[in-house]
Amino acid sequence: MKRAWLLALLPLVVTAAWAAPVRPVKVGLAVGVTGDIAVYGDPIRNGFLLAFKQINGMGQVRIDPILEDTGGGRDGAINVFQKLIQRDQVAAILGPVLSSQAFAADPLAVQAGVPVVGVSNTAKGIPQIGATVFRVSAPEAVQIPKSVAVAKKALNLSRVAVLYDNADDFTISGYRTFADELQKNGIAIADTITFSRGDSDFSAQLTKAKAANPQAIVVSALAREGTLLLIQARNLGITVPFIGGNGFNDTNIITRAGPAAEGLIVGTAWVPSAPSAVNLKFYGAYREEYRREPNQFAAQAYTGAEVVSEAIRRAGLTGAEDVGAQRTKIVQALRTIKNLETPLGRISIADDRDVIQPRTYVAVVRGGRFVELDVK
Amino acid sequence: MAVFLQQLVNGVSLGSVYALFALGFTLVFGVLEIINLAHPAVLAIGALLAYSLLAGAKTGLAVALAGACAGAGLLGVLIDRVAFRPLRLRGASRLSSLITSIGVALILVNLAQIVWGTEPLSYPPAAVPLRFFTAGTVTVSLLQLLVLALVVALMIGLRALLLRTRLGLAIRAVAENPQTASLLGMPFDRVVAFTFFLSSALGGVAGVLVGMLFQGSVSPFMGTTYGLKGLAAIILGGMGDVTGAVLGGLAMGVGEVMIVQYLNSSYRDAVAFGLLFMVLVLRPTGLLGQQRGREA
Repeated sequence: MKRAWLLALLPLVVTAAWAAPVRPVKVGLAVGVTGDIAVYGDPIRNGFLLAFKQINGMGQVRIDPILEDTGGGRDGAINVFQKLIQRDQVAAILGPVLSSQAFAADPLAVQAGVPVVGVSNTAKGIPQIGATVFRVSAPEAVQIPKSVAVAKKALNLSRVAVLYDNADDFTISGYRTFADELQKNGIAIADTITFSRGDSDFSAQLTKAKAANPQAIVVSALAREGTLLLIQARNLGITVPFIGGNGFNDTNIITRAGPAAEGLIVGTAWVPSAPSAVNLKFYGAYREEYRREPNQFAAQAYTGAEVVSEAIRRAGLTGAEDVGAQRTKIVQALRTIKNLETPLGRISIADDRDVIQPRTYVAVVRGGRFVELDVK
Repeated sequence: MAVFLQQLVNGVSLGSVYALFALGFTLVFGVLEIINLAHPAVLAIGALLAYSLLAGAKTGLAVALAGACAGAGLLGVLIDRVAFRPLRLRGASRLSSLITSIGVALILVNLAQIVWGTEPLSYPPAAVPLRFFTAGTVTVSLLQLLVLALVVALMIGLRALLLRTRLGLAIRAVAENPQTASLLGMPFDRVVAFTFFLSSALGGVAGVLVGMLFQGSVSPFMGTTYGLKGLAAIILGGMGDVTGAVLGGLAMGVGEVMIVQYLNSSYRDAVAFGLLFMVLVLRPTGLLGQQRGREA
């Protein structure tokens, strides 16, 4: 009893000495780490935890990250949001992984006034879900036009076939953006073919795409389906390059598809070689901590955690406030973030709560690695 | 024409995978009238066992296939022992068995996630016979031919086992009337255990073949798609009928592929399940099912 009393006093002493926060601010991490979603969820969780470890180590703010597994479905995301908001009383939420989950779960946070920062939701309309929804992941609506323009120049494109997963909000949104951009660039769509999340055999769709005789195949898919598509395409003798959406943004695709991934063109928010000091610090620490290469999702998650921590710092939270006040202050502070140094470059939060990322990339797989696609 | 032929190859290949899954599925239904929804999970575990043998223990393909087959078969016996036998002893309804099998599936998939993780795995390329034959513009892989041949062989073998052997006679007797069969001295539990072994071993083999056919698809969730399509295949072919399961599977596969090519890929599942609905309305016993619907 006596010890507990002393322990309770300790933070006060610490506060007096360094003016550090009294109690940690609770931040919920809604990530799918089980199920097929884990290909994205694992690096995202790693990025979050690494960032909070470093930030807590610096001592300016104290954050208590609470990790909850959403799985890959909408219902899982809703359950996790309910738990984080009501039982854990978190001040902010990072996640969920998929745009389809964000559309389902974010409204709960909006209703409760809880700030949400998406780090991997790239579908159209995410910040428009409500006044407390932000994101640091450059939307596909920004990323895809660049990919299409660069690919058009590099491959001299005039005719493509389009394949997309019509069972997921993100891949459908990606498809629509692709279709618009292709049209704007005067590239003819020879055929549009769909498949569903969970399929394993794509030979029917690929045979049909091949018969349309395209110069390239544009795909909006998640990583698992994307990998299988690449492998099966090469087995069917399809040699034209693939142009993928954000779902392809994963070095694991290269590992799994091997030579079949060669020539894949993807728009990406992050490349390992980005030269900023923050990126080097992230890259090195990630490799040391997890013994593997970080990818775009890890970098975006790290950035999201950085943005939330910066907002908590700017709001001057000590952890002693009532959670409602914490939530309101974080929402206000998130709006003030401009030119923050992150692994993604200097990013800002715009008035519409979407991210402004000045530098994004178009990468191509060459020799088993993503390298920036140069256009002369 | 070349496109049609290629799509026919694709459809038969997809259909033979459905058929392979449906064979084990229909066997348990034919004997016990249980729809075993844990079968997709058994398929995944078979594929994952083979992965451990190929990538971990560096064994050859034959050993991996045998290991997956035996492992999945024993798992099937265990599932019957732990999940279905207690229900049988209490005379529980078939609905309880159905729900129990969903529970078993959840447990197995989650255990598999703990053991093998969630990332989709590929068999080592060297272990898989990756050969392709091209005639004109039509490509057929050695694996596709292998799967089709295996499905036909298994179908004929299963039929022979059920119709020509004493064991098959015992299985059919148990399927016909469990009480009478027991009274006449049939070792009921052993016959059921063997049926589960056979069904699950077939599921395990199906898993390995799916894993080889679609590199990068081996994961605890790989069975999910086949659960629904396999069920559709056995309803289409006639519940409990071995030949019907194979024909049903092939019809589903070719049908799906042709819908993608000649109608609209978005209608693939709608047309497939629409057809299933029509079969249920017009001929509830399926294409080959008799009124009794219990041939196996």
